[in-house]
This record gives sequence, C-alpha cells and structure tokens, in this order.
Amino acid sequence: MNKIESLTPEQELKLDSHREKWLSKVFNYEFYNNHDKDRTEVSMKKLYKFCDLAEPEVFLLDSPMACQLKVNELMGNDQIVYEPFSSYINVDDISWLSFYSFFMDNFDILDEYRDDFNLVLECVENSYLQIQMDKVCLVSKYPKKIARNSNNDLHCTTGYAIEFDDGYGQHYINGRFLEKELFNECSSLTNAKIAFYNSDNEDIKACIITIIKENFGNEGLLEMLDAVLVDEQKVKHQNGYEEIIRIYKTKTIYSFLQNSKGELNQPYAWIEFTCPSTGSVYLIDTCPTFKDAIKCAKWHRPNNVPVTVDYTWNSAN
Amino acid sequence: MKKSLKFENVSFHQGDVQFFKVTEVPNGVKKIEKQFIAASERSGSFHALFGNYDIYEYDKGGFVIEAHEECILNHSLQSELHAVGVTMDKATVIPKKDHRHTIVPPGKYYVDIQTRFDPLENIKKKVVD
Repeated sequence: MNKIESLTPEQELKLDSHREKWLSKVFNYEFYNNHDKDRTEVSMKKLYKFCDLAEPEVFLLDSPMACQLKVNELMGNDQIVYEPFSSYINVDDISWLSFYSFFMDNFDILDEYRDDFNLVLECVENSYLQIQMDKVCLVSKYPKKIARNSNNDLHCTTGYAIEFDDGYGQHYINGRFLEKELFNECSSLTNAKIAFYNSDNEDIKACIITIIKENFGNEGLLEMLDAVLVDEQKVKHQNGYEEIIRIYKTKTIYSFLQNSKGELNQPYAWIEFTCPSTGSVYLIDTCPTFKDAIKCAKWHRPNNVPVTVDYTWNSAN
Repeated sequence: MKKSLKFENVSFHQGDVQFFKVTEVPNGVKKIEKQFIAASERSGSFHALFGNYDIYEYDKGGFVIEAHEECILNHSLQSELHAVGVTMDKATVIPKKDHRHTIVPPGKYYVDIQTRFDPLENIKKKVVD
C-alpha cells in the first residue's frame, strides 16, 4: 500500500463539493427527510452483531429527550436520571465518515473496508444521537430544524435553534445555550428588562440584548432599558477590524446608585461592546459620569493598565 | 528589574481576557504553575495560553507572562481539552468554544480580565461569564 503524500489539483477541486455534500445531509435535512424506521432497526441489529453483542430491541424515537424518557421508563426510574449518549454512531461521526468517504471515492486503498464503512454509515444516517444499552438501543431521529448565524453557530432569536419532531428543542443565541424560561422572558420588553437586571452573568445578559436588538431594534433596547444614547464612536484597530462603542444611561435617576466618586442619585449606565468572534453584543455596567465612549472603554480595561495606553487592539477575537 | 509595569502600545484581547505588552517582567512577581487565565464554572469554558512561556502572579492583580516562543491563546471547553489530551506546554490550537484562537508573539505581557462597574457598591469588578 502506498502512502498518499498529496492530492492532485483535480482531487483538491473536489474537496468543496464533497464537504457540501456531507454537510447537507444534516443542514439540508437529507437524513431527516429520508428517515427509514425499518432500516434503522436492521442496521443497528447488524452493528450489535458485528460487535459480538446480543441482538437489541431498537426503539426509534423523535428526539434525544424522548430517548432519555424512554430509557428511564425501561429502567423503572421514578425520577429522571440522564444516561450518556454513545460516543459513536451519531451526528458527530459525519466528520470522519466524510473524510474516509473522500478517499474511498477517489482512491482504491480502502476498498477492503467498504462494507464496514457502509454499515456504520447506514446506522448514522438514521441516528442523530443514541443510547446503547445491553439488548436495548434507543435512537433519536435527526432534528427537523437547525438555525445558525453567519459563524455557523446555533442561533435563533424567534424560536428554537434546534427542534425535533416531538416539539422538543433548545434555544441558542450565537452558539450559547439559553434556558427556555429565560428565552421566553425576552418576548416582552418588560420581562426582558427584569431578567437583564437580575442577571450578573455577562454572557446571559448578552443573549438578552441580542434577542431584544434582533426582534425590537435599537429603539426596543433603549425602551427596555429606559435609556438614552450618550456617545457612539467608531474605532479602527491595528488589524483593520472596526468596532463601534456606545454608552447609554437611563433617563431615571435612582437614589441607591452611585458613581465612581461615591455620589448617590445616579442613573444606570452601560458601555456597549460587540464580540468580534461571535457578534454578541455586551452591555457592561459602567460609571454614569462618562460622556466619551473611548475614555470609558479604556477605564474598563484591567485596573493596572494606564489611560496613556491607546485603545487599539492589534488582534481581537 | 523594575517594580512597576511599563507598557508598550501593543495589546490584544480574546473576549474578556486582555493582553498588554510590557517592556520587562517587574521584580516582586511570583512565578506560578501554568493555569487557566480565566474559567467559567457555568459553561465549563476557559481561556488558557499554550506553549513555552513562564507565568507570574502580579501582586496588584492579574498575571505577567513571558512568552519564549509563539504561543496560542485558546478559548475552549475543559471537556475538549481532556479529549485532545494536550498540555499547556505545547503551542496547539484546540477546538474553540466561542472565541477564535489568538497567536501570541514572543514577549512579555501583562494579562488580566476586563472590568465592570458595580454602581450599588461603587467598585470595579472583573466581568463574569
């Protein structure tokens, strides 16, 4: 057998279409639309036999949550105990199946493994996730909806980012999981405002801000915060990346809030940053005395960094 | 070596972790074992530098890092780190959580976390995620 040291230009040209072909199996719902219950059962039984395991009873279920509920029912649990999903024979296998498929399609070096490969592929085609037990295999169908942002991170501000046939789904904002209850709070500006003020976690606050901005616009954000824009500045960083920084403060003054000099009767104030990697918008609590967004941004750097250091990043991720 | 930090106008950030180039490692700093620069208990994510470098605890907060080679600042999940099985001694890119990896050129840096202002307590705190 000869080692492949490089691809020919013709083979390299095939890489993009090969990748798209495999991605579309999940993201264009080919696996979901071509789901075959009988084939799932036959292929999983074949795989157990291949592994010298007793033939399993195969349960084909609509979602990963349905698998968890069923396995708990079978085990007679009164309370749900989450069973781990299997490490193999699931959607994650598509990366390596795609890799070897390319070499099977374009070379003859892996022909002896083709039958085994096809068996695994047949199983994965019908299994988004699965729980493999002794004599029992619980298989979840692929999701009927997957919504992503331009970075290909799971993202949807109007509903589930990933949803299954039985209605089970999960919320993600720019790749970050968000609890259903918190997501639902963001359907109203009043409830979103309460959730925003009650959270001290910047990622969760960023999720709330992103949902409000996408669904209600900047006007909705200002309304939610009862705030006005104080300053907005564009910064061009060393690597060419441009950032817009804004500061806001509430129209209302609160007797219990202080500024950095310890003076009471202050408004709430925030500085807005946008993450260059995820696009998430962060509103960081700031001192309400700032009128200049750049000076404010400098102040939020670590305490030991003097203001004489420019606010320009050589790299921002 | 000087006691205080002398900054150059070179800086970069990966989320809330910020690096600022300094001219030298000040005296009075304490060398420590390599560790995560920041970690989130909620999400299991971390920011950590991978490669040949020394890390010191700065007495006024934060770290001073001396990178002896081009290092990689990763933002990833602890489960990914266990899965790939690499240590922080090797300049390796590991699968990202949210933020893309950052290449850190050789040099000396002051490193700490972005801050937020708490108007109830009139105090600056490190941001939490």
